[in-house]
Amino acid sequence: MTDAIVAENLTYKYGDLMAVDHINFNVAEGEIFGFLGPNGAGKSTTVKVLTAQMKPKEGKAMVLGMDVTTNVRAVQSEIGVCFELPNMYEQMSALENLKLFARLFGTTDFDGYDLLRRVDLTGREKDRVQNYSKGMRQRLMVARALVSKPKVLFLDEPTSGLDPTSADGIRDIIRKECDRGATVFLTTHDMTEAGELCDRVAFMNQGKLVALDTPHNLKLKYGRRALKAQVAGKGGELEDREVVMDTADTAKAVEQLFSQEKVVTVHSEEATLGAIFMQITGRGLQG
Amino acid sequence: MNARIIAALVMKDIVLIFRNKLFLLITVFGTIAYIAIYFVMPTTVNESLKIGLYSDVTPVPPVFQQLIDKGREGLEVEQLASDQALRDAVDEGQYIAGIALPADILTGDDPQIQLYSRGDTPTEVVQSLDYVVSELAYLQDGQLPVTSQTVLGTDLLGAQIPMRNQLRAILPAILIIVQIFGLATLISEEFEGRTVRAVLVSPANIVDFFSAKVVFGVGMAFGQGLLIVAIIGGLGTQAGIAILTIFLASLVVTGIGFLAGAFSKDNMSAVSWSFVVMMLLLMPAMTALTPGAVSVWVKIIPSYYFVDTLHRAGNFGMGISDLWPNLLIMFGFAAVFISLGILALRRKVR
Ligand SMILES: Nc1ncnc2c1ncn2[C@@H]1O[C@H](COP(=O)(O)OP(=O)(O)O)[C@@H](O)[C@H]1O
Ligand SMILES: [Mg+2]
Repeated sequence: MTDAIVAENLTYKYGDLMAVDHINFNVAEGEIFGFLGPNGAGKSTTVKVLTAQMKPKEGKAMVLGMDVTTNVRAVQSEIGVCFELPNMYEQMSALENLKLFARLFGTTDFDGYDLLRRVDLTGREKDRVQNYSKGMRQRLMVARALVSKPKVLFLDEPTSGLDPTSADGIRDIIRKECDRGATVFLTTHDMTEAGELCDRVAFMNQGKLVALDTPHNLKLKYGRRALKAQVAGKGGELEDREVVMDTADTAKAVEQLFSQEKVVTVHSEEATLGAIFMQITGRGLQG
Repeated sequence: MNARIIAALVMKDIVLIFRNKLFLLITVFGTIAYIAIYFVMPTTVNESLKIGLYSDVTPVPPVFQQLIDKGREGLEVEQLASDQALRDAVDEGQYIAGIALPADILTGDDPQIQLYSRGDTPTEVVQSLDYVVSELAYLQDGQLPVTSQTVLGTDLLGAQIPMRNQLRAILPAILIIVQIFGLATLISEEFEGRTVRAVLVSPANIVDFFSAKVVFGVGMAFGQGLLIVAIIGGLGTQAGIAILTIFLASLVVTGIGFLAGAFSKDNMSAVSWSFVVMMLLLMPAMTALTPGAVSVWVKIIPSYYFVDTLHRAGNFGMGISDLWPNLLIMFGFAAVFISLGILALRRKVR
């Protein structure tokens, strides 16, 4: 399979500030690719370069086999972009906004009502966007990215600031787009979302790509699974015990725990992508 | 350039402009207000009318000398050295009218006082001047003189221009100038709402975006200008020149609208900028019809040429042979403002 997106030594600077620092990755066709990192990591800058909004200062970006700096119109005809900040025509209705972009893309088989139904905006199609709530705007932004049934979707934090139900709805749409055959480039700082949704995830930190693999492999490689237990102490009070899993001594430690102590509760703890990120970069995701 | 994309963007702009309440308000009320202002204007202009005077007798008869020294009801009278100098000065528009007193004004049985004016001197001015002069001469020697009026300038053949016809020149200019406001706010909203980003990341590129804005700006100004000219009967004579003038004026205001939009960081500053610019442009639009009152600085403002050209073409039937300098100047203004406007917007898009 060919790669839908290729970044080679991709670099972007704002003046002296190195926002994206010589990063390399490939995204296969049909893949959901998670691009993770805290605020300021360089995620949006990478999206802007990949979608031909800005020229890389160094390196190369290819989308569907085309160099984005020299094939701007061709690339932009094949992609759908959901921007980080809302940029709808506020004085127009949701339907009018979608129709405008369908015309710009030359999409003929376009059904605005159906698209708005998918993002749960049924009944509000003809309301002006200026009367929409933040969450409704965000969902409309996702809908607009889908107008042209793009081959590659770039979604810059599409679920940020959404209520859990709306966020679930968006994640559902992303899966369906993937089923349709689209490649999805998803930036997020929600590690749970990335773990659930993405085939592979890339960790960005201060403009650099610090890890890239499937969530499963990352957990295997960095993640530490543990058995957490509460035992009854001598005076009857509860004490915490932890047994690290996947080591040579694990079996013995588990046996000791159960034979020597009075175990009250026990559960296993999975490594989260968030913990792994912390482990690799030494910083959390909300910074 | 892609015609389908440009058409889609233009249609979007048309939808948006007619949802801009402030713009609609200004278009409607602005037009009404300026018509009203216009009807009030003649009295205020008359207050500073400059009249030239030549007397074939020395000393100048006392009542006329008094007129030179003190003026009268806002008339400012200056004495000239010869009849020819007076005619030339009136012809060049230095004075709105001229008075020539004959040698026999004090002695003759039937002295003839000459009144000089230009074809575009308002009839009311000549009439009231005639009255004033006759009255003064009567005071001087107790007999009613004969005045004869001479219209100078070969082009403007003494046509009397009713107020309604003068509006033919001024109304289209007002409507066209108001488009600056609409265009400037539309553009600043594209940037403030970041919608320009969304459009540029679609198959539409920057050339499409600018083309659409030019088509929209020129279309709005040209369409409305032409419509009002047609309604008030300004296409009766020299229709070709009127249409060309409106088209060039539309290009000029589109360029200025681009500039005002590019320099505004938000909707409020777009409103303020375009108001400043519109006020500046409306001033010469008002004065262009009263040549006696035109000062040189007005001629550096593009709107002077819209009104002057529409006025001369529509009300005096002047053709390309007389008006080509005006058209050329407007063409220059159009080229300069459109280029500057696109340049400024380009910088803003980066
Ligand atoms: N327009 C800009 N001008 C200057 N610096 C910027 C600009 N946009 C982003 N940056 C800086 O570039 C870095 C990466 O930003 P960004 O790509 O937006 O990060 P993320 O999307 O991961 O939060 C940050 O340090 C940010 O402050
Ligand atoms: Mg971002």
